[in-house]
Amino acid sequence: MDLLAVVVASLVLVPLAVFCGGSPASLVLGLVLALFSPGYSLVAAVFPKRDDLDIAQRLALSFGLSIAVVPLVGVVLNFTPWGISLYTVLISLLVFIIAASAVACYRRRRLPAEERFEPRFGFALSGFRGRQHLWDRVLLVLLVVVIIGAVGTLVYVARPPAVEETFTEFYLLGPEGKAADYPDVIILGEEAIVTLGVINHQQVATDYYIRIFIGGKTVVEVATSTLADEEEWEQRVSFAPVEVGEAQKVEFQLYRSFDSDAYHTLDFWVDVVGNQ
Amino acid sequence: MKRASLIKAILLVAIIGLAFFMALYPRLDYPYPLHVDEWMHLGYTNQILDTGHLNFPNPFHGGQWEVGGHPETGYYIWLGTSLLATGSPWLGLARLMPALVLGIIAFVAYAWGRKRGFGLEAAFFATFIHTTIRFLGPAFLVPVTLGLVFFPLCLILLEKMEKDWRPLPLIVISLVALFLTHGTTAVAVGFVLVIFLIFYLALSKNPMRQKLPSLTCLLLIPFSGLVIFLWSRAFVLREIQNIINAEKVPLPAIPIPLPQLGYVMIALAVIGFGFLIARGGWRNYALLVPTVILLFFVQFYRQWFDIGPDILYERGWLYVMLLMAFITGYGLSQLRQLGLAFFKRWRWGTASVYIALALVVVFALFLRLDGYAEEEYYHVVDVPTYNDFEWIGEELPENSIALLNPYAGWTFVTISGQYAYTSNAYPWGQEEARQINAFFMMGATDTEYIKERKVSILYSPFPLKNPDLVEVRDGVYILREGN
Repeated sequence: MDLLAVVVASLVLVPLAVFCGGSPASLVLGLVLALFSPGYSLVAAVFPKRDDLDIAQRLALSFGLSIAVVPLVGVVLNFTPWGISLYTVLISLLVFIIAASAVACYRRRRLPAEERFEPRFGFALSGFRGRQHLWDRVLLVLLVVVIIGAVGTLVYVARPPAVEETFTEFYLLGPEGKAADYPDVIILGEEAIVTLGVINHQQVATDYYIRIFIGGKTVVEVATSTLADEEEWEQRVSFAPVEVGEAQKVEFQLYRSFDSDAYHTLDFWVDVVGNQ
Repeated sequence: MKRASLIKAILLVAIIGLAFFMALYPRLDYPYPLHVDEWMHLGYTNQILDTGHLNFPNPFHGGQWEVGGHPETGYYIWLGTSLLATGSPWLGLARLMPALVLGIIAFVAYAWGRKRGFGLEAAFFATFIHTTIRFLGPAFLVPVTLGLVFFPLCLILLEKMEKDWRPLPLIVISLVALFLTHGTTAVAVGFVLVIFLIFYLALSKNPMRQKLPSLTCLLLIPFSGLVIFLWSRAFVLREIQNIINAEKVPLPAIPIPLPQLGYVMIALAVIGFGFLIARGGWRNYALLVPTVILLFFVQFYRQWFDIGPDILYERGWLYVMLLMAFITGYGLSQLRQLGLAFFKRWRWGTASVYIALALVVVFALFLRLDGYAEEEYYHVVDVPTYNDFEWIGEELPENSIALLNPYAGWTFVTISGQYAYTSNAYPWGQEEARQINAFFMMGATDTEYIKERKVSILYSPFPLKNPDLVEVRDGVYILREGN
């Protein structure tokens, strides 16, 4: 039963990891695969008797030996033509778990039934059945509470803390929205196009506006709509130089509605040539 | 389930919950890995997953040379497998894993200690292991922390081997994997095992026939280390050279970290040492002797031995603290037994003993948390910088090489997935770091310098004045196409 559960959990993980990677189910089963199942099946294969190990030792060895087995499987994979990937890792660990579980099954079956290791699921619940002392019931409830508390602690410490910094992302992309094809030569009288983006992390709704300067002269002013916290704004913006000249600095100054000085400034250099 | 077992189960689960909390206590208010080493390990792991092989272009040096036979390969595979199997983002797993690993350490310590009557106590004090940026520890997602699992694990197997051959291959597998994960820890675990085996073989009254597995194990332990020589010969030879040439890392001496554990734990450890000596027997001596030798070594190697880089030995404090946790647990359990025996005739004697022990435990925990509060940790990146690096990874062409402060290189590579021209957090990398900082301070006007290094992204703390660059984001510059 225990070995079947380990194999089934590993089998279920494969489609989960492939198609729903990152889901809570794949997180839990993936951790079981990396931290428990290989060791559990190996321990079961080596120690099939009930008296070989107590349950705490069996579980402890399962965790520890999984941490030992996983790297060795990876090293072996490295020397195969398939290398280390999602599929090869999952399949190789699955093969290991199934093989070790098969050996464990075989060795257990050769033992008299009373000597075999077979975990008794639900033994804790027996406290709720029959005539149990009130204290035993209280302790069982307490155990459940403590388990929930331990899991809750894990969730609490593992969650990222709230971000306290307030800031704004301001970026400049080319006309196609990629970090390429920035204007370097502009013909006087024609417009150049870039993409500007703002992401608000100020933790309050904020109004922004952007001023574009060429050679120190304002040529365009663009206002974003009011951006809620974490809201993004991205827009293609065109501008045209007003005079011919080499190496003119194009500046994009971002202001929040209350700023008197620029909050962020981005720039690049262009040559402006006459229309000949 | 018996009432005593239920109470033990409740306490064990509570201790594991405490382990989860203690592991991440130093970073409860910080969302990212704390130490540059963590970033480096994550970066290498990501690179292995990207290339699918254990020989891979070095992401921290612009892919200019291959990394092969890395001495901590086993750790990268374990972390990479966890990433692949869970599908979890690496940042999420980087927070979760230290908590799980310390929980496992506490549980394995319990499983080892319970046969000798101090499982819960050993598990409780195992959660006290300290973390600093010098010798690392459970708050960091690093190989040495994972290696700590193998101390109690191998001790369980060793004690099972007293009359049984079956644990022998499992010990060898564990040591081989540990050598591939963290060689220094493997040497320390091997050392502890050898001491245990010697005491067992010398003092146990079991017949010689029953001792044969242990004798074989004693002979096999040194051979398990061969794997790291075969896998990472260049690294091993370099370290041997370091030791022979006494290459020193110019780091200041670290103060003894034991006060951070709290004086209650230290007092209980001293009591535990006393009980181990007083009770005697090979098991007690086998626990006592390696702890004393390791404590002596990590405290005095610098003055007396002066061999090799300090950082190789500073990790030893973690091993000392783990073994001390066992001894502290032993001391507390002996006090409990003495107290119960002494006060058993009193009406409220048993309850009084347990209340007194609970007060000691709570006070020890309070002092331990206070010890963490005194420890200072640095932050490699803040949230805006993290967002910058993430944006660079998403928006700029893949496999670009970036020039930035080498100190932030490991972090940059891990977050962005791009290459860094160079990254080095160690003091001996300072000359190159100074050159790069000077280049940025001068405005990065030398385009040839950038092109020669095949750099296309610059992340600068200073405004740059090079017309060949486009500032695409605060501090982020890219080299124009055609250059």
